[in-house]
Amino acid sequence: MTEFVILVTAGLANGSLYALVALGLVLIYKAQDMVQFGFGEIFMAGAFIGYSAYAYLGLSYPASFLLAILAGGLVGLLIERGLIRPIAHFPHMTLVMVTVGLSFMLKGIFRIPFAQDVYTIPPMFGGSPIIIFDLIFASQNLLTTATSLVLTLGLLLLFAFTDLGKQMRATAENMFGAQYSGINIGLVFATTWGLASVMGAAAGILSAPITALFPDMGTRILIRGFAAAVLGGFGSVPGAIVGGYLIGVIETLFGFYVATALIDLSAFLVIMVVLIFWPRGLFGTKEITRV
Amino acid sequence: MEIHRLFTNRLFTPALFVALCLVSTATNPYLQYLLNLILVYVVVAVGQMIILGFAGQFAFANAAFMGIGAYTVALLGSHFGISYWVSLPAAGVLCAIVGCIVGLPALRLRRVYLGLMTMGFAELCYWLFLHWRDLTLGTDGVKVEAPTFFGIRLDTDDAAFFVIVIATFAMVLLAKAILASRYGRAFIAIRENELVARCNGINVPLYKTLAFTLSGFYAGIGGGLFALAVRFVAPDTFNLLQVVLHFAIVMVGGVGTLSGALLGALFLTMLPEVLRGTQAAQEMMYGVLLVGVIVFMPKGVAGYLIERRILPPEVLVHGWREEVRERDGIPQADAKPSTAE
Amino acid sequence: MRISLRPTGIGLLGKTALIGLFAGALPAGAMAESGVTDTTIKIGLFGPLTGPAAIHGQPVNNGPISVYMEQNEKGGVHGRKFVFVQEDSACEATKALAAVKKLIHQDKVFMIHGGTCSTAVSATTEEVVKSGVPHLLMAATMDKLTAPVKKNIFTVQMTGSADGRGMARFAASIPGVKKVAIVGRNNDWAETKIQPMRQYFKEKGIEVVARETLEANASDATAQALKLKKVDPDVIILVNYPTESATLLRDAWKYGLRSKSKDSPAVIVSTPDLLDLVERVGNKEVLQDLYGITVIAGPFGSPEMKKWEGIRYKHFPNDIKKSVAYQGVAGATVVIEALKRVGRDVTREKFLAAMEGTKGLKDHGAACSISFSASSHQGCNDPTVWTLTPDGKVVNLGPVWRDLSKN
Repeated sequence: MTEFVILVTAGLANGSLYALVALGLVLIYKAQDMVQFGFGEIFMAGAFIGYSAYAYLGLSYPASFLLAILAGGLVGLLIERGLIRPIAHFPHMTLVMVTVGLSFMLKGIFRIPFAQDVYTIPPMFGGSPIIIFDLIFASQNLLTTATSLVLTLGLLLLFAFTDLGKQMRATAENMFGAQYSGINIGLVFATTWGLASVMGAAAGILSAPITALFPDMGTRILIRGFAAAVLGGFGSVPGAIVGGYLIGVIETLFGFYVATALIDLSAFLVIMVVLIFWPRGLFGTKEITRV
Repeated sequence: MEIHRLFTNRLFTPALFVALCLVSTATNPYLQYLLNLILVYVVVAVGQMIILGFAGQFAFANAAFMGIGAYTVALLGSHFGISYWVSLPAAGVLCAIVGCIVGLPALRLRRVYLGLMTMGFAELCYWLFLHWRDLTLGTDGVKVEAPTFFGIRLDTDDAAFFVIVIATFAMVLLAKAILASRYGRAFIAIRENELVARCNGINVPLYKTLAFTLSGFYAGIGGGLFALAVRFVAPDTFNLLQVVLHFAIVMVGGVGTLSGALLGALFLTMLPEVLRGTQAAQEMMYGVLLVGVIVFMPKGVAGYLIERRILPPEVLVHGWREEVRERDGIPQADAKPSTAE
Repeated sequence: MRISLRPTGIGLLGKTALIGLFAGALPAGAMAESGVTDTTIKIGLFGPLTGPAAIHGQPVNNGPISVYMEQNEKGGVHGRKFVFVQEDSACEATKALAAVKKLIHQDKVFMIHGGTCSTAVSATTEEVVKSGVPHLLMAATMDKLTAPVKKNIFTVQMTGSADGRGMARFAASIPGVKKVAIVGRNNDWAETKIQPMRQYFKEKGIEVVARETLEANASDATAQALKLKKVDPDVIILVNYPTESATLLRDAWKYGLRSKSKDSPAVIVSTPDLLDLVERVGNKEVLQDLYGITVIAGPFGSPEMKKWEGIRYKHFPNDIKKSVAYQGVAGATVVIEALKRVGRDVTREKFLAAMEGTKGLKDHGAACSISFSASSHQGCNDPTVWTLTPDGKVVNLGPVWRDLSKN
C-alpha cells in the first residue's frame, strides 16, 4: 500500500510540470485554434536561460527562476508578434508547419553552445527527504509542485477576475465578436503567447534541478503536455491541469505495476486510447459543426 | 514566356525519365544514393500528399506505414528468403490494410485530435520496431538482401536506381490517374468542406477510408523502395523526425499538388546534404530555411511556381489538356469534350 | 515558347540503350590510392555532430583529432601531415550511410576514423567493405561490427560484450554476492552488454533477480527504485549514461533502496565519471560503494592521463573534462604508429597490413595493451574499474574488487 502512495506522490510531482506545459498548449489553442509544436523548445529555452543565469552569471536559484520565466515570456511574445501575427491569415496547416520549423530552429540554436554535455543544476534543497506519515517527499519536488500550483492558480485568477483575463476568454470564445466589441485582439494574442510561454519556461526551470538539461528535453515534455491536454479535453483549461497531474500518476503507476519498459510509451498510449474511445476527454465539450 | 507549356507537353514525362537515367550514369555512388533517396521520398510524399494535401485529413501515420513497408521487405527477405519482387508489393498491400485500419477511428476525429492520434500510432510503431526484438531485431537493424534480376544481383546504387526510378514513375503516374478521377475530386471535396461533400452525395466515410488505404499503399511501397536504397532498416529511422519530415515535404512542396510532392521530396532530401558544410549550425539552418520557405511561399514551392505560371495548374479532370490545346489552336489527334475545373 | 509536337529523336531504341548503359554500370570496386598526396593524408571522420547524440559527436571526435594535430606539429608521419573531413551522421542509419559514401566517393579520403552510434554504423559496413577503405571505428561498441573479422574494419573501443563481462566479473568478485539486479536502457547499446552479463552470472551461479528499464535522460526512477527494493539485490548494475544513472542513485537513496547500512547494495555504473555523478546527484552520501567501469588510462589529473589531457586542451581548450571526451583517443596513436611502420610509400593495402600487425601497443590513452591479428580486429577488451574513496578521490581498482581500507 505504501508503494502505491509513494508512486502517486512522485507522479503528482512530475505531473505538476506536465500540467504547466499542457496549460500553455491549451491557452494558445483556445486563443488561436492552433497547436504550438515548438512549445517544448520554449520549455527547453527557459531551462537553459535559467541554467545560464545560475552557472554563468552566478545568480541564485530564485533569481534565475525569475529571469528564466521573464525571458521565456518575452521569447513567446516576440514569436507571436514577429512571426505568427504577420502570417495569422495563413491556413492552419501552414501555421503548424511554421511552429515545427521554429522548434528545429530553437533546438539548433541551443545545440550550438550546449552540445557538449548534459547539464545539471544542483537541487535547491539537497539532503534527506521529508517524511510525513510514511510518505516520502523530496524537498525539491515539494518546491516544484508548490510553485507550479501557485502559477496555475495565478493564471486562473487572472482569467476570472481581471479585465485582460475576461478579454482573453471572450476572444477564445469568438474572435470576431470580441473584435467587434472593441477588444484589442492583437494584444490578447500577444498576452496569450506571453503567458503560455511563461508557463512553459517555468516548467523548464523548475524541472532543471530534477531532470537534466539538454537541447532535446523539450520533445519528451511536449508529448506529455499533449497527452495531458487530450486527457483533459483539448481546449479545456481545468482539463489541462487535471490531465497533467493524471498523466504523471499514470506514468509512475504504469511503470511499477506493468513494466518499466513501457513508461516512455504510456503518454502515447493514453493519447491513442482516449482519442479512440473518449475523444472529448474529461472536461471537453462536444464540437458543434456549423454549416 | 510560357514555361509551363514545357510541363504539359506529352513528351515531358519520358524526357524526364531519360534525363534522370542520363544523370544517373554520371554520378558517383554518393550522389546516386541521394538521387535514389529523392525518388523514394517522392513515392512516400505522394502517400502523405493524398491523405493530407488532397483529402485534407491531418493524419501523420505515414512514417509508420513507411517503416512497416521497409521492415516487411527487409524481414521477408532475411527471415524467409522471399524475393524482393514479391515482398515489395506485399509491403504495399500490408500497409494499405494497416492504413485502412488506422483510418477507422479517424472517421470520427478531426484536425488536432486526428493529428495527435496518428502521431501516437506512429510512435507506437516506432516503439514496436525498437522493442519487439524477436521480430524486428530491435536496434541491431535488419540488413536488406539485394534483389536479383534474372541472376544479376542488384547490389549497387546504380542497380537500385534502375528499380527505383521505374517504380517511382509508375507510382506517380498511377497517382495522377487516380487523383484525376472522381476519387480525387471526392477527396478534394471532403477537404474543402465535409458537410457540403456529404450533401452532394459523396460517401464521406468510404472515401476517407479509401484515402487512408491509398496513402498506406504508397507509403508502404515507398518504404520497400527505401529498404532497397539504403539496404539497412533500423528503428531510429522511423521516429518522430520522420513524421515531421513527411509533413514538411508536403507543406514545403505545396499542399494539394502532385508536383508539390516531387518538389518537396527533392528540396527536403537535398537540404540536409547541402547544409553539411555548416556542421554544428545544421539544425538551426534547417529550421530557419523551413520557416523561411513557408512564410514566403505559403502555398509551397509548387504553389508559388504555379502562381508565377512556371508550373501548369493542376487540374484534376481527364481531358482538360485536350481542351486547352483546342483553345490554343494546337492540332491534336483525339479531341474529347470535357469541362474545365 | 512553342514546342513542336513532332516526336523527337529519342525513340524506343535510344531509351533501351540508355537503360542498358547505367544498368551495366560498373559497381564501385576497391579504389586505387586516394586521399594521399606528397604532403598530406586525408582522414575522414563521421559521428553524431547534430541530433540527440551530439554529446558523443564532436567531443569524441576531438580526442583523436587533437592527437593527429599534435603529430602534425612534429612534422606529420614521413613528411605527410593529416588533413580532416568531418561528416555528420546524426546517429541515424540513412544519414550515416550518406556520410560514409560522401567520404569515400566524393571527399575521397584515405581512411575513415569514425562511427560512434552502433546502429548507424551497421548501415555503413557493407559500403565500407565493398570499397576497401580502411575504417577504424570511433566509439561504436556493437560486437557485430568487427566480428566476424572484416579485412578493413578495426576497433579499439571496448566491445559491448567485453564491457558486460567486465562488469559481471567485477560484480561477482565482490564478497557475498548472490543476487544481482540489472537496470539499463532498452536498446542495443545496453543489450550487447547485458546478454554476456547474464551468461557470466549463470556460469557463476549468481541469480539475476531483476532487469528493469531506465530510459535515456529519465528524470524519475521511483518505479524502478521501488521494484528493486522488493527483490533486495546485493549488487545493482546500471547500464545507463550518467544522466539517468544519477536519477536512479538519487531515487534509490530517497526510497531507502540504498542507505548507510552495511546491507546496502553496491552499484556498478557504466561511466567512470564518478565526480560528475556526485555533482549531478548533489549529495555525496549517495555515492558510497560505487564503481565505474572504463577503458580510459586513468582518472583526470593522474600521471597516465596528464599527457593526453595536455594534448587535448592545447588544441581544444574549451572541451569538457569528462571521460566521454576520451573514447576513441587511443585510435589516433594506433593509426600513427601503423603509418610510421608503412613508411613513405603509403597504400591502403600496406596500411591494413600494418594495422593488423599492431602488437602490444601502449601509451595511447586507454588502459589496455592494443593488439590486432588476422583473427581479431578488436584491439582493446580489458576494462578496469574506478571507485571513490571516502575522502572523495577517484582511484583505479583494477578489474576485480578489493577492500580499499586494507589497501
